[in-house]
Amino acid sequence: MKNVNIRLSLLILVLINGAIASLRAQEKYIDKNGIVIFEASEQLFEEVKAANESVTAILSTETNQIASLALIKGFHFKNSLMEEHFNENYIESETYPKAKFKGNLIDFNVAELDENITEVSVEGTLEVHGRQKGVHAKLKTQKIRDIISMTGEFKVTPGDFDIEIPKIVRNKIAKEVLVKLDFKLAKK
Amino acid sequence: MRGKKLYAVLAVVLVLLILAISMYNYIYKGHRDISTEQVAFTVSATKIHMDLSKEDKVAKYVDQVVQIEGKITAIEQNAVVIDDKVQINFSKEVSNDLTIARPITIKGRCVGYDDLLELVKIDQATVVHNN
Repeated sequence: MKNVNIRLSLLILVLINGAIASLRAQEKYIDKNGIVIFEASEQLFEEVKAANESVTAILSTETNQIASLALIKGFHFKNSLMEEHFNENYIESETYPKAKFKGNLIDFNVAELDENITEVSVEGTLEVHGRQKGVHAKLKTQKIRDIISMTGEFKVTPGDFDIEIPKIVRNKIAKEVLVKLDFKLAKK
Repeated sequence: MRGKKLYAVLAVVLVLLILAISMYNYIYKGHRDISTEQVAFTVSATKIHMDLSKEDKVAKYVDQVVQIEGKITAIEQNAVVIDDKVQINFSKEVSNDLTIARPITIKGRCVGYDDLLELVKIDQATVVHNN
């Protein structure tokens, strides 16, 4: 009888341990409405700027991997004709409907985060227009209760993604595109 | 003779003016107003999710005005998820009280399929029915 009891409690212990381990492995922070803004404005010309306010971002605090996805059609410009040209002529959103990022946070430990802003490096690959480019950025990171906030920016060029800018508008669009991101990742 | 000349000048000015106005309208035309556009597809959340998760059906819905019904499964800032399958972002603050598990019908623009979260995304949405 005693033997059975010990066995049973051992089994329960193992089960609980397993459950805790799998819970930990699934520790994820998600933002469904992340903000990504890019800007390629030139002085004296109309601003070339678009924002997407429903970008997805997922951070696994176990593996420190971060993944993000922006639907190209979700980028909105102030000028609707510019938006149309962006979709049809430059980024060809019907063929390439998504921009994706996959990367790793360097030396990141979620347990060390608090309300003070710390800089976290991220390294990864950005895929736009079907082409990939390595990206490195510093993210201002803080944690308020169960929400991790990350903001940052990096620069890319249209050429990185084989996007050709026609001659007639070349001096109206900056050579470098500044990409800004703002994620509020909530614990899931 | 002078009268004819005056008319000719006036006509040229008028044509130029019309050209200028139509150029301006072309370059600075307004954005689409999804809430007043006609609905292209009326579907359930499950159906649009099933269709959009297959690559070949994506083009059918993307950028189209869709009307979708389902149950609210999550509420976020100015956005809801229905049936765990479709994420709706509203065009302006929703004054109606939204409650989890209640049925809702919305109209909005289909942005596409998010394969990270396995969600269909809709933006510029307005509430059609909320009960």
